[in-house]
Amino acid sequence: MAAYFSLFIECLPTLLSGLEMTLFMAVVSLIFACIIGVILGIFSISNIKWLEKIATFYIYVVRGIPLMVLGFFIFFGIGGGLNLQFSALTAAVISLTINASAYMAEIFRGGIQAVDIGQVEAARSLGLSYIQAMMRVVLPQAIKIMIPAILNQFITTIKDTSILSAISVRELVMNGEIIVARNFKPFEVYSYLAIMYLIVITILSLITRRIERNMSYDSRGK
Amino acid sequence: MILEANNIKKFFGKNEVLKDISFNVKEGEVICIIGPSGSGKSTLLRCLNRLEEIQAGTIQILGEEITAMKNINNLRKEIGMVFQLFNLFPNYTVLDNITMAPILLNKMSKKEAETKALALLEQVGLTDFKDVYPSTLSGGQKQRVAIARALEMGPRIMLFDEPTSALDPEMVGEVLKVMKDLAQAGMTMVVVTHEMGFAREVADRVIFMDGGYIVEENTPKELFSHPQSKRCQTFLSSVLHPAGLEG
Repeated sequence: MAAYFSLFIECLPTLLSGLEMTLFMAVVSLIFACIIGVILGIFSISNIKWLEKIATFYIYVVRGIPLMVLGFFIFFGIGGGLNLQFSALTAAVISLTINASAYMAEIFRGGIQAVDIGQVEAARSLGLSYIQAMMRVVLPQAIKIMIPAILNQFITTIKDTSILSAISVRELVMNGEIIVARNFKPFEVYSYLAIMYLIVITILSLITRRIERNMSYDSRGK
Repeated sequence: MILEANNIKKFFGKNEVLKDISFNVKEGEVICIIGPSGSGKSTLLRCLNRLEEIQAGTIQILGEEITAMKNINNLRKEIGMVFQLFNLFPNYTVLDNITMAPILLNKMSKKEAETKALALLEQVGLTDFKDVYPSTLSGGQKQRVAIARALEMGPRIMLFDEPTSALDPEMVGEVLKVMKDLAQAGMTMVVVTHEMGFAREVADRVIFMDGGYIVEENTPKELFSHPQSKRCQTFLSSVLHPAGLEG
């Protein structure tokens, strides 16, 4: 047991630098994914047919492609094949962004559509414009509905960063593999990885639960 | 004339739900629209503030042709609407439900809006509930807040879409009382309702609709005691003397 912990301390600097890279990739790509997701989500609920089609097509294509294939295609296919010369990290962030944005778009569309149409009608009949009704009435309610699904996507994306070890990004899994290749202790090292992912995701869940509680406006709320 | 509707037609797909509807409302008048389910009453009401678009005909409100307007938002401030399912905003407190729109639309300062809202809450008997969220209110209380919310904008005409149909029977009275007070204060009202007692007592004119047509239009006294058409007679006898409850 003592050996297990002392090996952990020994590996910690390498693992932490991997974790840092993992979180960096996840945060940056989730920020972009949220922005693209909102835009595509708005496209898919708009009454303009061709915008709706763009969103539907994007979501259809991206959801059908495994993240690893997307990563290979962007890094080796576009980066290498077309000689654009971007780093593995850039390729990884682009892949994660594309992947997560499709799911985010669906989350936003679903959240907005889950708000009763009567809410828009009430707001519009008071004289609010469509945009005002969206901002003041629909979105605050939609976001509350979306939070569990968004958290889910955050967790998925954090875990999905590990797939990009395949294009040699030095994230948590990659660094774990490097350590195993040196010390031949896969049981210990991979269990360290599992625990570190678990800790990160637990923290994220706790933060989300707190946000959800603060947003509550039902009888148990404020 | 505060409202003038001429030869309105409305289709849902191929289904014609309003067939050549014409009627008008004078300032201060209370019009009740009655009729069986599916007769087009609610659709007609929703066309009046363009929650539904009509396919033919004209609707003039306060002298403006609403079907021709590019932006109806300003006129909508003059048209209060009360819905069957209340449609209060669950993410705002009772007070904020009422004051949100006038503040956002720069119709009043925050202070003015709140002063007026509190007076309206007193009028509907809900002063104590100003800081709670709608989810804690009963149906009757929600509908009274919804009426206050519509009145806050200072509308010239109020549209009620079956305002008591979703309420438990013991709460119908409190909402009808508020509406009756409003009528007596001189508000112009168009009320789609199944409350025949209210129509008989409060309305200046009653419109009976069936199958997308206005079948009869008369004073409540005449319409309820001497319905002219067979359809109106059948409808009234079925709502006033429900089968199985006699004898």
